[in-house]
Amino acid sequence: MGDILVTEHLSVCFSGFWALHDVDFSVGEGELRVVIGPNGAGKTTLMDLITGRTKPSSGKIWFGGHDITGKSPHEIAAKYGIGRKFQGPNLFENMTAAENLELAAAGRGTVAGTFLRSAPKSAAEEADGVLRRIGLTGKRGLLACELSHGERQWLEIGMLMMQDPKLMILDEPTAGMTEEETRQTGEMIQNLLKGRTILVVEHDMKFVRQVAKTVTVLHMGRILAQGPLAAIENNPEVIRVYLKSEDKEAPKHAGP
Amino acid sequence: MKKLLRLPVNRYVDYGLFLVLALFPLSGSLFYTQLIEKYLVFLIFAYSLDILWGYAGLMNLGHAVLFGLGGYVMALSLSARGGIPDFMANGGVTQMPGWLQVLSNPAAAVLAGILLPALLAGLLGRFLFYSRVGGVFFAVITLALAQVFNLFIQSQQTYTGGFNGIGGLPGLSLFGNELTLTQGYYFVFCVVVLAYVFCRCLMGSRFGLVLRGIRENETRLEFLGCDQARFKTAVFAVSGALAGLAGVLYAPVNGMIAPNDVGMEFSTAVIVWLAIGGRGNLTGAAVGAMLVNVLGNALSENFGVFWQLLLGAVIVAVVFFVPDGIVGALIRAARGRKAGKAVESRG
Amino acid sequence: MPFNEVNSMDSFLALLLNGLNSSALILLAALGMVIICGLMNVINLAHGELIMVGAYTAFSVTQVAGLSFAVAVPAAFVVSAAVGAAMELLVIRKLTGRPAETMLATFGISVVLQQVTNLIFGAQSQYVAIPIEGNLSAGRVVIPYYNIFTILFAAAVSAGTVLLLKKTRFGKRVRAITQNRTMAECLGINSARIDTLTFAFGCGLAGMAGALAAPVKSVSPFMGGPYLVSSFMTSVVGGIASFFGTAVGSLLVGESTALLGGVSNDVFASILVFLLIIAVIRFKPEGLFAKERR
Repeated sequence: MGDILVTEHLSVCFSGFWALHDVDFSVGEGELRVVIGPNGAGKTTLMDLITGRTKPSSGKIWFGGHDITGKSPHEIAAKYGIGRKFQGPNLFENMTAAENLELAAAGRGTVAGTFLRSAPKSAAEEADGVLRRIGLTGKRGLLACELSHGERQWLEIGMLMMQDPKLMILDEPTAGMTEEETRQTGEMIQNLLKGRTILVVEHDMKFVRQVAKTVTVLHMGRILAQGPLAAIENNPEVIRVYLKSEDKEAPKHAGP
Repeated sequence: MKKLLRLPVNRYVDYGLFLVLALFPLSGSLFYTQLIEKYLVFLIFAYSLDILWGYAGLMNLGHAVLFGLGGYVMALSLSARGGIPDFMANGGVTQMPGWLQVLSNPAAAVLAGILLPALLAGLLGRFLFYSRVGGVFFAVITLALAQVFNLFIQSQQTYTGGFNGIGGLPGLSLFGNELTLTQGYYFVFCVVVLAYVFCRCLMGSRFGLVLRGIRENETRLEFLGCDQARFKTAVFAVSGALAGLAGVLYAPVNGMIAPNDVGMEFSTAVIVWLAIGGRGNLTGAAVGAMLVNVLGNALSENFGVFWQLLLGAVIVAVVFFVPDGIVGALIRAARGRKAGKAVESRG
Repeated sequence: MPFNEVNSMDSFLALLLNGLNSSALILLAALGMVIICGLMNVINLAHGELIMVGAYTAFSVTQVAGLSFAVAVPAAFVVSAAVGAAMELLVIRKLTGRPAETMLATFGISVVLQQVTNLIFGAQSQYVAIPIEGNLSAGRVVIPYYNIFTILFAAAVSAGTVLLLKKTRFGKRVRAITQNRTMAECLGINSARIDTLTFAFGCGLAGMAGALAAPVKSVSPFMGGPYLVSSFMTSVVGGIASFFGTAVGSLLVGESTALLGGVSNDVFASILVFLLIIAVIRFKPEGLFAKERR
């Protein structure tokens, strides 16, 4: 299987500060890749660049053989098929859970196409299916702001399911979740993998151990290490800059 | 029957209001029938702003420009029925300009009165929204537009009647037959209901859903693959067409049009209606327009300046105590009662 | 002035100086708006009415109370600043984080200010006598002394404002909050007080602009609208990030209106300036002098 996402010499500079420096990063098609790294390592910046939120200072981003460098977010999402879940749920707060899901599939395509009275039946059924998968069937009529934190995270993952992208980017999908919710999310993500590529940014090492096969470690805007989870966990460099401090900062996540 | 009971609460307000308006001419008062006929036209204007500001969150501080464009087109057409209008003759025009000859055809005037504002809105939207201009920019640019348009109308004395506007216009007529007051009232009423149904359907469609998404969280929508600028431009153009339609009706119903109807003052008025009635559910626009105008008519004679002052103070109070307006508060209250139970959709 | 009269360098110079005069007034008004917008992210739709308040203060001080214009200008600053402080304390502060509603509320306040003025002074235009009579004539160019005074005064006040923000402790705090509010608060800066003071100061600048404009423009309750629009256009052109941008922006808006008005007429000039601003927004949405932002 080839690489679906490739970055070449990707750099971005914010008024003199290199948030990412010469990053060559690639993800294989159908892979579930986890990106870890200490705060400020450039994880979210990398996701911003891939999804078009930030324009790179130099370098290229290729997706499925297309050059998507500097394209606008909606184009990257609709035309090329990259979906993104933001850090801390980013929802349509005053709309119901069902509307959030419908909206995730509604905005693509032409304006005239949306003049139809409602979504095609298949889309409504799809929304019902997604609600079931994220366990919110009973809460479809509640506003997004009325849901619990974990439910909100799931709702945003549900929106990605509706969007049905080729590449799903999940920025800290389990932040603020209970251990049980985190475990359920892990299962959800593994189910989502069928026929698609997933890129996860995470802090919670327990969760990373649950889902990850290959891990990329970012540090100070560069790739510090990359490889199978076991190798990364034993990499002395990674332990020094990241794993140690991470476990100290968040004892809840410390491994047994 | 069951379906009727499950409707959102504001629909009952809509239907009640339409019932009252449908029965109003039976009161027999010609004066008030004529007045309410004018307010009916304002309902269309209020709906046109609600789909823009209430649904998509784009506060247009110069909305009367779109209304005025339709109104002036129709007024010019009406005044040109009997040859060169007086204000043009006074300005030294001896031959009817070609464009006015075209406009003197009522169908052409109606069409132009609807399409020109739509076109202006579409062009402006094309320029503003594609450069990621925030809501604040939009508000102030439209405010500037209102000023420029008002200046323009006043300066073109020969073609617009200048400061005095265009007066002495004939009333509504349909296929060459002048309508009586009652006929005219019901004609306008039907157009209002059609406009209402149009807006309801459009806002109930996925288009309306996307607009609310834009209002709620524009950035999120972009990352879901939505080209929000296109949707904003589209709704601005549709809103312009509706506002133009209201203007087209206003000219014959009011019998005259003047720069005051197209500039800051009237733009302010429609903002006030929506702020008080509530936005994003169409009902609030209608309730606000009726309430403010009926009260204004009753009070402004006795209170004059105080009435305007009160309106300003009420806007501030509304922002603090009922930010979603009277109807918004009503919907919230109804929703509160059903809390926990599924609510299909707002509005 | 029709086109055929603009045939010499002299009339061009006269137009240019005329434009400089409007630019000076716009600069004062826009500076207040830019500082407030940068610090609090609030667009004050009543900004034009604060200019109007300043103009009426000047009218009351000189024409009603019969005092000198030298009293009127600081009085206008104080009165507009007081109105601004009241607005900030009573309304804007309580709507933090709700920009759309803040804008609507300031819109309501602008209506209130207009109508209160209307109630006190009536809707008719009032006039303020020109405090400095006479003209400076150089060749065939005639410049009223008052215009020269306006230009110099506005330049001095703007320079003073920049110094205030760059050099004083108050200014350092304002800039700290503009950069990063949360961080500044963590460092112990009382951001609420700074907000009130800055808002009042910005409004005071607008009031001074109104007082300076009063002798050359008619003073009426509804005079604020055009000033709001020019101030805003200035901040669009210059961006809200730099004082230099604001200065150049006000020059561009003031001069282009005056010069275009000279070769055609005022209405055509305003339409053209409006279109130019839209073009700026389309192609340089961050303003012509925006700093690179993250």
